[in-house]
Amino acid sequence: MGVLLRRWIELAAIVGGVAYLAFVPALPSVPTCAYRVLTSMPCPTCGTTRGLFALLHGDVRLAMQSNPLSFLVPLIVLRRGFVLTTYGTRCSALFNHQAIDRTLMASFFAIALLHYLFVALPAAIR
Amino acid sequence: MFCGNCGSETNSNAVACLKCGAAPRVGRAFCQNCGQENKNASAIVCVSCGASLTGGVASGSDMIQPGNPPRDPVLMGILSGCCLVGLGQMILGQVPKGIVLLICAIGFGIITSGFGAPIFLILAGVDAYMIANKLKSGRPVSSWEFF
Repeated sequence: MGVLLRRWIELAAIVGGVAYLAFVPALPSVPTCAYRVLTSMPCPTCGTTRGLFALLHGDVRLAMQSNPLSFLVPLIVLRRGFVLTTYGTRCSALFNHQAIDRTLMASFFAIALLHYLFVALPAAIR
Repeated sequence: MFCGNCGSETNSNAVACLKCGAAPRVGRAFCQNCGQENKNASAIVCVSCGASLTGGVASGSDMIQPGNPPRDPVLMGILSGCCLVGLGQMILGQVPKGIVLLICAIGFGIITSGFGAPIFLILAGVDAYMIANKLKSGRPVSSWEFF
């Protein structure tokens, strides 16, 4: 598969995903977390899809309540979109550093774990 | 060494070329050994110096070669640590490993009544992130390589 085609496919997937969440009136009631279906317990990232949906519809409070990862995931997706559109140019190196990768990854797991331990798990046990 | 994408001189440990931003060991447009432009897309060795255009790295059948553009390590980590355990590994080409991770995560999750979720999700996420990072820096990985 060509470099350009691979870039376009990935960009189309990103734009398609964002457009779906932004324009669909309500999320389907199909469970998206296999872990929750099998164990009936939430996983550390449960609520991110609902949070992204809320955020894209302007409900910041609900996004925060669903999962704070909803605020981090758009940054990661936006960065990937930027890297893909500017790939092969000087601008691409702006956000394509290992230090940024590490910060994003560490923030992601820290937020996921804190939310799980202090919000999702106590709510599930209650 | 030289960037395989744009041909500019770059540090051998660099994960991204300072001029073009691409992973310097990934492209085959320029020889990474002498910087000579390669006009034949199917060539595997440089016509100027004879070095391998794949960076002189092993290309065994079980080795996964770096892609162009490389997969985003953070996205791969999130896919494995968020969407589905092992999904990042599967996208990176480690399909059997991804499936085994998924089965283990489900089994562990059922045994621990769901409380084991964070352990497996974080381990799978970090593993996918580190494997993607290796590929991004131009190093091939084996199908069962961890971290």
